[in-house]
Amino acid sequence: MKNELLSLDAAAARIATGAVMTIAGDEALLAQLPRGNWIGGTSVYFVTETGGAVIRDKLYCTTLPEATVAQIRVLGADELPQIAQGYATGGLSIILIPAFSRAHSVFAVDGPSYAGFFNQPLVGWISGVHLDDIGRVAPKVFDGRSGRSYGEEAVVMHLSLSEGLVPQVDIVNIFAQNDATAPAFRFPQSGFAAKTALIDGREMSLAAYLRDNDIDTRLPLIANYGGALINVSVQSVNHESGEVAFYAPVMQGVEYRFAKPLDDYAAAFSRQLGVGGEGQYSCNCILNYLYGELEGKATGSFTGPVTFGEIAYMLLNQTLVRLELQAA
Amino acid sequence: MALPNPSKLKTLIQSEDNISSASLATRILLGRLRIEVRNNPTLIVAKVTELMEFVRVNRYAADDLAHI
Repeated sequence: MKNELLSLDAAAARIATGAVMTIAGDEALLAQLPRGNWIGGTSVYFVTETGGAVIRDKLYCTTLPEATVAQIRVLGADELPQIAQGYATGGLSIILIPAFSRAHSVFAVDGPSYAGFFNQPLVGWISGVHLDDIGRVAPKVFDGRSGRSYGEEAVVMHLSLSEGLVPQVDIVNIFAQNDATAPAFRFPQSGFAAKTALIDGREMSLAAYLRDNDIDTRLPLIANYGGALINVSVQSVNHESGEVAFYAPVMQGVEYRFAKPLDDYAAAFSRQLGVGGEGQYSCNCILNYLYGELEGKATGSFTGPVTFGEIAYMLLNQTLVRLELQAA
Repeated sequence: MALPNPSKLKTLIQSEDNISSASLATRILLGRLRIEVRNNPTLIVAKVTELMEFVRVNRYAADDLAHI
């Protein structure tokens, strides 16, 4: 696996060799790429070896010579439950979904319940746009076979791998759940928004609670999934309507606690990631980029697109996802 | 690697124990199964079956759960 920032011409030349690739970049560049074995998603934010940056004149390309077969599917929200039907034995799948699309919300809530969903490593991300363009420009994903872009569907690349390689997916969450004595939040139903929550067992207005207790909503809510800490980030708090919106769904019956504050985002990433990112596929969250003020700050050797949501089986927030192909 | 005993899987789903050394897939799936059973305890048999099927298909998961 090779990660590179390439010019449009260099990326096109690589595609022309028949290489299997995932590509992140500005829509204007993605739209000019030739047809081939690639999938793409829009992003203009990247983590590079020298730090976070907004890049519009190059494409972040991951080339996968380890892939022996690549099958690309475009799946609408209603087709996502069949995602596992494309899984190749011993392989992995990469999924890209446009932010704010129906596929985004449906996958986030229902994905982990799809039949056979966990039977193969699944990684990916939610495509985005420059923050100044939200509401004006729609995030897109691309099917490289046709060169077509999609604003409502997901694009999935199912890969078969060379014999002897095992894909390993993991997440890096720089946050820790607050202490057991901190308030616990449960939600009456799953979804991207909530007006009320059971806070330490008492049903309360969530927006009012956040305001009255001066909660720093840049910190995610964290749930513990059998030892995997899964973040849900607060998108907005509307005190008029009383609605709190999230970047990933809160799930009914799950206990959440807010994260402990961090002193230094970039240092936390560097500390947890260590070395070895050059040969790994990774993506990081736009909220980490913003709240951690990562522009121009190096966070280690893990580079990749900065996204509107990360996928390691399920949709994540404020998390780095990484995929490594290891020898069996 | 032998498949885990269903009664042990039932205990695992009904517990709050972390399996931090397990693969991400096993941890997230277990987390989801726990949520579903917590919301509807009558699902426990179906969720043990689902976890057993996951282990059967993904033999690394048998390693993950071998020491529970």
